[in-house]
Amino acid sequence: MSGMTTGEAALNFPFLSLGLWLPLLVGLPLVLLAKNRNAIALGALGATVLQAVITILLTIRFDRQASGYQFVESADWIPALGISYKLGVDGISILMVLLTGILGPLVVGAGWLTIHRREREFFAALIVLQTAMLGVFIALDFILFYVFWELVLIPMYLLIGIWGHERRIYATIKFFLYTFAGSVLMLVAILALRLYTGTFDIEAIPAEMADASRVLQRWVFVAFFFAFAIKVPMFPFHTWLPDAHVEAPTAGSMVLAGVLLKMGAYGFLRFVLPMTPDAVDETRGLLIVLSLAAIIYGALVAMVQPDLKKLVAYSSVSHMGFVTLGIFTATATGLDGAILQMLSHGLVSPALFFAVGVVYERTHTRQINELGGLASRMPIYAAIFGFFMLASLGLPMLSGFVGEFLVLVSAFEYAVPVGSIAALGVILAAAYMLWMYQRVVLGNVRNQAIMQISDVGWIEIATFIGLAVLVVWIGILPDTFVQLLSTATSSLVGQP
Amino acid sequence: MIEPQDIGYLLPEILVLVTALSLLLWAAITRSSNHWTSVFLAVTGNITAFALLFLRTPPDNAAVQIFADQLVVDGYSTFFRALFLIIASLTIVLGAQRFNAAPITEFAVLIEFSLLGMMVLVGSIDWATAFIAIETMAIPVYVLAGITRFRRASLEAAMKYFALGAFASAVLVYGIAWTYGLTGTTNLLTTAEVLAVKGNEPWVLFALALILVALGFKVAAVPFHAWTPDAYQGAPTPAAAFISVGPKIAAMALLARVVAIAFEPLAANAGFTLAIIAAATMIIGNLVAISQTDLKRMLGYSSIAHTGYLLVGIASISQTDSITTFVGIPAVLFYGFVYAFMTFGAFAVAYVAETQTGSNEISALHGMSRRAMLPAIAMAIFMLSLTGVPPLSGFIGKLYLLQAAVDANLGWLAIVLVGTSVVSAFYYLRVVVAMFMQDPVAATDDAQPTPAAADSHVLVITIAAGLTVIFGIVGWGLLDWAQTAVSSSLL
Repeated sequence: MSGMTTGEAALNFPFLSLGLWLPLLVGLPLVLLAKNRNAIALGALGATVLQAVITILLTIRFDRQASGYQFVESADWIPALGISYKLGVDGISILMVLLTGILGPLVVGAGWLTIHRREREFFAALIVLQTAMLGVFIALDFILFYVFWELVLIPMYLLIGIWGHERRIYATIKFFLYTFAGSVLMLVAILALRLYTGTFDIEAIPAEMADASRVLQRWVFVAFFFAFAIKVPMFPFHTWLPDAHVEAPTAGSMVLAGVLLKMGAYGFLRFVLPMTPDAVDETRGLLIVLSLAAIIYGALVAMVQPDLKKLVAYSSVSHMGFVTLGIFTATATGLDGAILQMLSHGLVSPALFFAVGVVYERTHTRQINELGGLASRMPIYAAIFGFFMLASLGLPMLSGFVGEFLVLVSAFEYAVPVGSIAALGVILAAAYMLWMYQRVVLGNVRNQAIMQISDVGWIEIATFIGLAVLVVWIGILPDTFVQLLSTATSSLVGQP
Repeated sequence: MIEPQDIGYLLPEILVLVTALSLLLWAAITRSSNHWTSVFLAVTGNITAFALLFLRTPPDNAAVQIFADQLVVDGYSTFFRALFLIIASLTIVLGAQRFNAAPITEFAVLIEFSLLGMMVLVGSIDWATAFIAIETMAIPVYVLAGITRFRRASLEAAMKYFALGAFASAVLVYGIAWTYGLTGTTNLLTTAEVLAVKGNEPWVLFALALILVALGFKVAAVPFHAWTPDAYQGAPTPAAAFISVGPKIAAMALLARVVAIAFEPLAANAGFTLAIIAAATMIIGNLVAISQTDLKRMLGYSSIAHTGYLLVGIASISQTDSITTFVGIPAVLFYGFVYAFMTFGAFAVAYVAETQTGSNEISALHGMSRRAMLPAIAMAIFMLSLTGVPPLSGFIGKLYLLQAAVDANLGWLAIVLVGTSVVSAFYYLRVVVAMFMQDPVAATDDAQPTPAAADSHVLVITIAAGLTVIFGIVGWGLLDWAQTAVSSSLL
């Protein structure tokens, strides 16, 4: 009996709130009060490590068999408007929570290496960003979700605008306006849902929407679609992404590619599929065509980019196309693949952006034709970059393969042409990645500046290794992660 | 009949009047330049009045009509009176340092008289009292706009403001006369009773239209908004801060009462008209704000846009059956309250920038985050809150207004509201960009060192920013107050 009570007490313990607020409460004072640069970075590192540990513990304690939400916490927030403070995770969000937590310290590490002015504000913004992103994935009240969703914008806007490169102001305003425009429409949809269902409770709305009219579903779907499609970004709403990525500082690009893009896909999984299923059915063809367009278009544009960072940015568009393809084929396999692809892309693309940043720090150029022969000066770096390049193009035994393979299986089940076109994207990815690697890392040194540069240091190696371990783990033992989400995905598509 | 206890309910107003008169006397007797005494006197008077507001409330949160049904003391009027007392005090403190336009005592006297008018206005339920209150509120404000006599822009602002204000008052009187002629009463409650029988005859609609036009001028709704940017730009900045908040919200409070009480039988017509006006105001205000290069002018258009947002709340009365359950009016109360601090704070930061650089151009804000860190952070908070970004109070306010619109089947108005909010992000963000992301213009060798922000300015800005954040995160207190204020009032 007593053992059971302890277990229940542990279940009722507010793990999620702890993971959400503790880094903010600990980290922000540390960062704001610290006296010098290293102390500031260490404070931020401590806070994000704390958050990472909590999210890892959450993942370990997560009950794989149980359906529905776990670690649920609920309290009134603004009762006058029916808004509550409700948190919880299920199989769809747990991996995103883990991803957000793990990336935190690595991003702080990247900032420590690359940011040399106004560090205090930089790390403060990163910590707020970490809290807001985690909040997006665990909020179970629609308004609370919206608050975190928008709150993500502010630190990201500052990260790009203050610490970015030459055209940072253009890029940051474009980023803000695009995403803000998408999300305010969602707010109207949220209020319309509330008018119909009488609640902001994300857990309760899908059941209430079961017999909603087609018209309501369509309107809600349209509003949600714009919000999430911009965030993912789906073709043709992707134009903010290359600008934001290219102008953002390395750490900003890492968070942007690692977690922010996943918020859009998460929105499709969490809200669009369960709340407006009929509207998704009606538009499935279009959604799949858009996903295919993103895969092929992103890959083709990546191939011709002269700018290394832009190449990685467009490869993100292509890879996120696989995610939306998996989501909209709406089979359990497809959803599993989409979520694994989200996780994999969330690890690989920050690594690639970090790799680009490492080179930029040393050579102050991102132009592919000004690089070349890096392997001769930076052998360790060449090996690491090669590893993540292979992970990105979907080499078996590494993380990128598993997600894309499952999505392709689901796509072929849906229709053979769809699967074939998507498979073409995998081939294109191999082409642009290998070609890029050949031009940047292999070959002869063409730029005299490269003769003086040094290889990666220990903080850089540690950051890469942190990511590499997970990439290999997902590649070899994907079942560890699939087990976490299969209960949720199969109940989402109504398959046993 | 005037009962003796009526005086008790009016103690806050009496105290404000006494404060204003003592300031006048003080100025006449001492002619001293020690302005802190005047500031202290005025703020103490206001704080005491604030306390009296809550010490002397009607039993059981009822609405008590006093002075032969001229005034009502209810939660609604108390809510606004509290807000006005805070704003007036902040204005006087803001004007206390580096205000070289006029002696601060004169400034404080004008603010106090205007405050008195606003406090009476929100309690008026009779046209005669309301009109006198409006004039008491407005005339000191015309003088405030022109108080920098030696600046042409200031005189021009005062002249325009006065001319259009007087015109609006004339239209209002005309509308009141028509209403009186049609109903035989100046009392808002009795007007409603008569109109309920009369229905929407053409001439009743005409009277309603006149009153909407007049109040449209006062709240700066499109197409009666043209005076606003000129007046804000020309008026000395602390005065502009007050004008953009106080008289506008007081007129908005009267408008809500007029639509909800006197013309309640015509609520559908009024609501429809107001919905159109609200949409036009949001669109024009936000679009024109984009092209502004002067910060105060931009804030002027921003305040027009916010008039539009507030009108959404009043417009949503029309579609709702029960007066006590609708969310439109509490939304107006909540948004008015938080709008006051966001906009006032933004003007206060504009004032700091002006004392530092001598310019009101947005480009003069470049690099401000290094000159004045605290005001710059506060300004970022005000701008983001005005945009409606969570978790700031401007978001909760807009959420509340949106809910009112959606509940009232005004979905299209809700879409206009969020669409124009996106547009507004464009010009609000420019201010943040200028302060945080752009480098200051390189100083020449003979340039004066930039003075630090005055302590009293930083204090005012910090209070406004603090409230803007607090009401966002723990907004339920203010929301509950707004709802109780409406449910326990004569509406």
